[in-house]
Formats: sequence, structure tokens, C-alpha cells
Amino acid sequence: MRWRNSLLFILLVSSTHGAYVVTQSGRQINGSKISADEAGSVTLETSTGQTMTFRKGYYREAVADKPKALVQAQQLLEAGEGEQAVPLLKKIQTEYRFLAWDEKATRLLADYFYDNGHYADAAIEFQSLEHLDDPEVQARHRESLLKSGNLEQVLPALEKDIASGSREAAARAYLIRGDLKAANNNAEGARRDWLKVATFFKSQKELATEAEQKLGETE
Amino acid sequence: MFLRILVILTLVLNTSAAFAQSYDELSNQLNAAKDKAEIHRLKSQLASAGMQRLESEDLSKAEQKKLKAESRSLCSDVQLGAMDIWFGDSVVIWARLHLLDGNWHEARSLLLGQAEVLENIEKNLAANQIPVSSISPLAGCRYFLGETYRIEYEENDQLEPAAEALKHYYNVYIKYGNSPWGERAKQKADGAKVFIESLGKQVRIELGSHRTAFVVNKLKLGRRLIAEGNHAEAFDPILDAINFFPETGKSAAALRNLGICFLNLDRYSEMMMTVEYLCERFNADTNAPSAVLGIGRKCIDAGDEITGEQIFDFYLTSFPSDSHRADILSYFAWKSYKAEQWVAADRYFEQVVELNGSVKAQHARADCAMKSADWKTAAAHFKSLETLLRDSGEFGAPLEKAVYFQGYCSKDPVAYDRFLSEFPDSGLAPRALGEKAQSLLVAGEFDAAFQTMELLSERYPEALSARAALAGLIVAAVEAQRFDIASQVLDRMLTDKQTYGYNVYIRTGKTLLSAEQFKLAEKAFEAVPLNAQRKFIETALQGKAAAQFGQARFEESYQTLDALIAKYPTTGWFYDARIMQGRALAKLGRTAEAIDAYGEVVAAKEDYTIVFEMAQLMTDPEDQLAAYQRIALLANPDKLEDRPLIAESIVVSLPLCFNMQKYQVAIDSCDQFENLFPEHDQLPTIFNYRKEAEHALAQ
Repeated sequence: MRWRNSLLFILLVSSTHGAYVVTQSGRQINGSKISADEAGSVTLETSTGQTMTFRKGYYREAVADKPKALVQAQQLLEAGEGEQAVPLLKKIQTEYRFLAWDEKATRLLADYFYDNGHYADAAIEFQSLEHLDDPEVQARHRESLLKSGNLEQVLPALEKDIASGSREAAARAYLIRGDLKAANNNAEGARRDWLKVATFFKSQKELATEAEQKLGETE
Repeated sequence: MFLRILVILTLVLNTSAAFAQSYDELSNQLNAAKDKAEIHRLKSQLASAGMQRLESEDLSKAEQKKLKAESRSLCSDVQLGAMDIWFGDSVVIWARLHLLDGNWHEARSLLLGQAEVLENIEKNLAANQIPVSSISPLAGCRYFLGETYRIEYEENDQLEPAAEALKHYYNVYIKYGNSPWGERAKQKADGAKVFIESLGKQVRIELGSHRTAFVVNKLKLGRRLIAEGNHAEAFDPILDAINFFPETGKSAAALRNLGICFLNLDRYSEMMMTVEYLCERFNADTNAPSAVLGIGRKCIDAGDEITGEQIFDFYLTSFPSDSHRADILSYFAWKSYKAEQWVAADRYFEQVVELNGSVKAQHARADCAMKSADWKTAAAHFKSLETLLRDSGEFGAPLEKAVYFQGYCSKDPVAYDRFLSEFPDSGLAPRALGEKAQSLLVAGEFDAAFQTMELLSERYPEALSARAALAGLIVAAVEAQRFDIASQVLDRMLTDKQTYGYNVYIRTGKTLLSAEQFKLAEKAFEAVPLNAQRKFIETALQGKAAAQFGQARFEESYQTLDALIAKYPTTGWFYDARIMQGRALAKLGRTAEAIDAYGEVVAAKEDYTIVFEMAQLMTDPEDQLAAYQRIALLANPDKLEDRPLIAESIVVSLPLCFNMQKYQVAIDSCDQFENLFPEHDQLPTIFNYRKEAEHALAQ
């Protein structure tokens, strides 16, 4: 049964216009059709009819034609009809997995959920974009976890940011962790986290100012 | 080359010291100096000290004039000598003298004219790897050049000199931040910046290639100020440097210094925040663990052990692979050990052993288990210690002990045998044999126990442990409730009484008394002859009487005690002897004598148990009631041991009251009982007596 689903999947993701694969060495190979299986192997059919398969890890980027459903979903989102965009985006996530557009759809979904207060759903979508190392994605991911009350996941994520994230991510993580501590009646712990940002992250001006404000409010 | 460096280094050190020396001291030194180089240095330093006096002291005009002339003369002399830092300083001092007289043009002209020379001096210092940022005369030169431009722009309200002043000040601040002019230059630069901005211009400072030097100088300045104990001033440059380069190879050390500043400024929360930041953000930095430990150690040195240890805890949690981990664990381990917190100590020692296989720590683990009387664990730890020692090729006394203690802790004869076969000549061998015998005895292997004892006597006839072992054997037999064996051992000991100390018999007798083995106990006490030391005889006779009493041989018990009192009328056992005599006499039906004996005791000491015993023997109801009332009224109800006596005395005194128609006494006693024992199970009886007494009184 499993292999049958895989077959169906490959058929669905086939694309016929302007597909390409960028190899690890940076060479772009254009093709007319592109598909990906569940393991991330990408098959590209070139204009000469040759079929090339790239296993996951052996290509830098694999891109299909921009799906029409994505354009439609974007229009719906812009028109404030996000609810109708959700099923379209979810479909793109499945059908264009490994073919670039899945991530775009995920980001749109994540932002839609976040902006509309569906933080638990937003956290799931942002989590799947974690590998992009995008500061905004990371910040929204932590906020979503926090706002959906998912403390089990948020604390390790914050600690990871503090230990190895960018300066900005670390400062933001300290601020959020300070808020968490404050909410748990650990005023001294909260103060120390905010103080770290105010003292050691002066280059992250906005965050340092935010920390100073928080410190000022508790004094 | 080496000598040259040495000379220059000496000069550097002398420069810093010079600040602490007064004008007069330097003047005296100069008068006494003979060495040309020393005179050269002292003249420059004296001119500098004179300059400081001129700038800071309230001097009369005549004094000022004299001091200026002296300083000029000194500078002239210095400038005739070598072109070194003293030469450079003299140039700067000369310019300062011009400024003091309001001649900024001359000052600037002089400084600009000599700048190249001073630059060469700096290059020379740098070529000899001397840190120029703190001592280069160019710092003073540029600072006072800045001063000349400041005076000019303040006089004329002009942008150009302000820009020049800012340039010079900022250069000093950036390049010579840890020189005496560095911080002053920063303040002056800020002033110039404000002036320029007030003219509608924007100031943008590009540090360029000096950026690193600037930060390094800040860190140096911070370090120097900390070394001088000036933590309040050290704080800003260090924090500035950290914020300029928040994550470099020098950050951990800078954060350590910042933490130390916080500690010295009593800013506990900020210090802990810094420690946390080091542990969290710099977790992968190999310099961070030492930085954290440095702060912790400073806390402990400052007497704040709790905080220091909290920081050590952070360290242990944050840096599980650091090389100092074992040291910190050892610190906690030995601290717990000294506090006799064996479980906690063992937990730390265990980690030390895991980390570095420390023999000492493993030995301490075994010791902790022994101190906790956890013999099985202790034996296992000694086994591990043995393995560690053998693995590291140590076969001396530590290994002997590790093997011996496995037997000692496990009480396993096999373990002792293993020790004895490997170390037959060890000093611990007789002890091991004796203990093995005890173990065999406890295990019920009596023949083997005695054989071992014989082996011990044969092999080590003079060994103290051979003698102690037999005594230990009887104690072990009694503890194991093997009184048949105890009897055999005792007989064996008695065949050679003198070999064992009297203490052994007394201790054995007491143990047997506690176990109610009266016959054996009597035998043990009798082993102490009447020509022994008084303390042994007294205890032995008292013990013997108790053993006789326990066998219901009351007359003999009485007589034994009589012999004790007759031999030692002032014996410390007197009252105990009389009490026991009273009890013996009571058993023999010699009530009057018994009461006399008890009477002697209660007259001398407040023992209501004896009063109660005595009261029970009395035949005259008046006397008996009086004795019970004495207990009821005089014993302390707040003493737990007296409360049952009080209750019982009241209960038994009530029928006597009724017999003698002393109803009011009965009612008072009932009141007392109800007050003292509101939940006593005899209360219903008391209520009945009270009711009857009230009824009788009403009749």
C-alpha cells in the first residue's frame, strides 16, 4: 500500500514548465519535468528527454514551476480570506515537498496562523522552517510556542538560541526567558535575564532598550 | 639585547611607582643618587611631581615661581641626556608649564616640534616589546596638544581647532586608553564633540585599524584598575570593551574581570548575571570555565562561601568536560567530608573517581561508607581501590590496607584469608587473624575460631592484638547471644587472668549483665582481684552484687555490697549500693532495714523512684501516706520521668486518705490529678473517690 501512495505522490508533484536543479557545485540544470519522492530524491527530465535523479544531499536546490494554487492562496490571504487559503497551502506543502514551494507555503501558513492567534498551529509550521536559520522565523517560532503555552519546547529552544544563536537571537531568547521567569514568580531570575540583554547586547539597540524598560518596570 | 630590555622594563616599573612618590621623597632620592641613569630618571620624575603640585596645590605666587623654575631647570637637564621616556616626559612637562602660564601657542609649537622625536621613542619601546599604550610620552604629547586646541576653540568659538582637539583627544583615548591621560581625554573629547555639534555639525568617529587596539587598551586599563583595587573605575572600560567586541577570545577573561568588579562593588545580582552569561553564552569557549571559576574563587576568598559555591555549582552544570572539574568536585567532596556529610561526600568522590580514577578519592569513598557503618558498600569500595592500586602498580602499604579492610568491613573469613596469604608479614596480620576468629565465632564456626586464636598466639605471641582478640571474641559471642561460647572464652581467659586488662572483665561483665547472663557476669567480675586498683574493685564488686541479685542470691548480694561500703566508705557507688541493699533486704523480708537503707538515699538525693519503693514497704499508714504525698506534691510534673510516679502516688494514696478519714486531702489530691492528667485512664476512679470524699465531708 505504501509504494502505491508513493507512486501517486510522484505523479502529483510532476511539473512541466521551467523546473531546474542546482547541484552542490552550483551548476543549474534545467528541465521540463521535475518530481520528488518521499525520501527527497529528485528526478528531473531535461529538454532532451534525459532523466536525471539526484539523491537528497547531492543537490543544493530543486525548484518546480510556481504552483498556481500558491498564487491563488496569496491572493486569498491578501483579501483577508485566509481560512480558504489554508487547504490550498497545505496541499502545496504535500505536493511540492523538496521542490522549494513547500517552504514558501509553510511560511505563509505559519504567518497566517501566527497573525490570527493560532499559535499552536503556527509553532508547528515555524518548527518545520527551523533549518532556515531565519531570525524572524526563529523569533516567531519561540513566540508561538510561548503563547500556545508549550513551555516544554520553548525552553530548550530558547536555551539553544542563547548558547549558539546569533547575537540577536540570543538577546531575544533572554528577553523571552526573562518574561517566562517573571510569569513564574522568579523575579530575580527574570531581572538577571533582562539585565544580560541591557548590559551585554548594547549593539542590539532595540532589544537592549526593551530590556531596560522591563527592568525599569520592575524597580 | 637582553640587558637593554631589562633596563627599559625597570624604567617602566619605576614610572608607575613614581606616581605614589611625593615631591620631597623624590628630591631626597635625587640628592642621594650617584648613578647617572638614576639621576636622569629622578630629575624627570621630580619635574613631573613638581608639575602635579603646581596643578593641584594652592601655592603662593612665590612658591609657584620657584617650583616652575625648578621644574624647567630639571627638564633642561633631562633634555641634555638620552632620548628615552624621561626625555619625552620632560618635553610634555615643559609644554604643561607653558600652558600653566597661558602660553598655549608656545606649548603647541614645542609639542609639534618634538612630536617626531617622541614618536621615535615610542617606536623604540614597541620594538623592545614594551606595552607602549600605558607609558608612551606621545599620550601626554597628544593630550596636551588637544588642550592647546581646546583653549583656542573656547577662546575663539571656531570649528577647526575643536576638530583638531577632538582628533587628538580621541587618539589618546583610543590608542593610550590605559595611560594616565586616557580617561581624561575621553571626557575632553566628549566636550569637544558637544561643541562641534552645537555648531550644527555631525561627528562620526571611525576607529578603523585602531579599533582592536582601542578595545585591547580598554581591557588593559580595566585590568590595571582592578589590580589597583579601583573596581568602580575599572567597570566602565571593561564593559565598553565587551560591548565593542562581544564575542572574541578575550571576552571570557573580560567578563571574569567584570564579575570581579561587581563582586567588589557588592552588586551580587549583576555578578551572578555575568556568571550565568558566561556559562550560557560562552559554553563552547574554552576560556569560559576558568573565568567562571575565577569569580567563584574570588567570592570564597572574600568570605562569601555560599555564593562562591553556587558559582562552582553553575560551573559543574555548565562545563561537564572541563579539565578543572575534578578539582571542584574534590573541593565539594572534602567539604562535605569535613562536615561529616558522608552521603554527599561520597556522591562527589564518586564523580572524581569516574573522572580521573583518583586513588585518594576512592579511598575516601570507602572511608565515607565505613563512617556511615555501611560495611557492605565499604568492602566494595575497598575492592575497587585494590583494583585501582594494582592497575597503577602500587603494591605497598596502601594495597595492604585496601585488602585488609575488605575483610574488616565484610567480616568475611575468606577475605581475611586472602589478605593473610598475600601479606603474611604485614603489621595488620595479627589483627586480621583476631578479627577472623571473631567472624568465625559469629558464624558459629567455633572450632575454627579457636584454631585461629591458637594460630594467632603461636605466630604472634607478643602482639597486642592477640590479647585483644580474645577479649573481642567474648564481646562478639555475647553480642551474638552465644553465651555457651562466651562461657568457654571466659574460662580460657581466666586461665591466664593477668594477660588481659581488668577493663576487659568489667566490660564483659557489664555486657553479660545487660544480657541478663548473671552467672557468667559474676564470673567475669570475680576475675578482678581485691588487690587491683580501687576503681576496678569498686565497679567489680558493684557488678558482682548486681549479678548475685539477678540470681536471687539476695543475702550474698547484700554482703558483697557491705564489703564494698566497708572497704571504701566514700565510694562513688555508695547510694547505688544502698539502693540495691534496700531492694535485697526487701526481698529478704527485712523491711525495717530496707526502709533505713532507702531513707539514707532519699535524705541525700531527690530520687522519687526510691521514695516510691520505700513507701510501698512502709507499714504505718500515716508514714506511707506522707511518703506518697511527698512524691505527689514535691516531684516535678514537668519532668517526664516523674509524671507516672506522681499519678501512681496519688492513686495509691487515696484509699489511705479514706482509711484515715482525711477527705479534704483526698479531694485536694483528686483536684491535683485532674489538673495534671486530664486524659489519664484512671480518671473515672479519681472521680469516684472525689465524689465519695465530697459526700463524706458533707455528712
